[in-house]
Amino acid sequence: MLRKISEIYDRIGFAGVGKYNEFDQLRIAGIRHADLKGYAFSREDVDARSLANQYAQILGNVFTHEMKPMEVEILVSEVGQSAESDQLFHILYDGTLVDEDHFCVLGGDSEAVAGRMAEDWNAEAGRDETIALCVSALAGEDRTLNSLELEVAILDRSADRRRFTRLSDDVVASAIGT
Amino acid sequence: MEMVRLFQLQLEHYEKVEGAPVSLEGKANQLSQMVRNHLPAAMTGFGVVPIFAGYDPARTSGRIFQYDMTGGRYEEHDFATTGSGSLHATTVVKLGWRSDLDDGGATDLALRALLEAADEDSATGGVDVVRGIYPVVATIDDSGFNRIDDEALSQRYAELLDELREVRS
Repeated sequence: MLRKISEIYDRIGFAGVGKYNEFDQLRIAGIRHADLKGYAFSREDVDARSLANQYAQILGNVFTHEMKPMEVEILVSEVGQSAESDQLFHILYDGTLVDEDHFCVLGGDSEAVAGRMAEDWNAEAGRDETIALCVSALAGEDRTLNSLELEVAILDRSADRRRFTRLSDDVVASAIGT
Repeated sequence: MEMVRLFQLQLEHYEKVEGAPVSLEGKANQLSQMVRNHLPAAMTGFGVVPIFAGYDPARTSGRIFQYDMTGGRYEEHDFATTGSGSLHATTVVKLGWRSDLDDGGATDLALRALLEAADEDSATGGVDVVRGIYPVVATIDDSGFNRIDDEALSQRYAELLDELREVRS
């Protein structure tokens, strides 16, 4: 399966929608930027904000100077020491950078999905509960999704160094109860 | 140390870009190239001769590789030693090695090998029980890399040293 979400660095994850080759190019550029910075300075100097800024610069430049804009929408997320220091940066095809709170929906019909998410959102919910909520918000009322159609990954605050973890189909299936 | 850092970076970078980790064999070959590229520095006296050991999920077994300064890669069967004191360390390991050694036995053997090497070879660092400075010892299995903490090592060293004193008295 082609992947839309990926690890960037210890505490940073990436998600992209739109044209695959274009956001994959951005993803790899992000990993390279983060790895080089972490190597040249220190691992704690790599942060989502500077990465999101870089992405916004790239997308903004392409939008104004190139033949066509990049047809993508990306999200850079960072898990902090506590929930208050978590960060979500939503970047649009024209370089618009939005700092989101709690959750963010990318792609088609995102407003309707975000509306459903906002209704049941609970910051205290555990991992499986939150996954179930996301999946039902994504599916809507007249559709059910199974774990084979989903790609799920988390940034685990309690993990040692590399917080990004992909969840297997079995784990997702047990979380959403299908 | 710098080479270890760069090697780790390379492997992690590959894993993130490709979405899958490099095979153990691939990592061993990568390290071989790195050691070869280091040859000019090695000729001026700053040589690096690593050991690469890991658990290979494809073969479901542990594997160990030794290198020479030109990047030559040699897979060993059961154990490997490197550095100026390796001559002494190898002898100790060779005499003490059995196929049914458990983690604890293997750790004790490695500590004993380091102790004897440090005794005979002035360039091999020994243990410093006064300041509590112990070598880096780890076991590697299918669950990953597990460093043995200094407390456990100090216990093992204490037993080992007692044993040696007993033999002498």
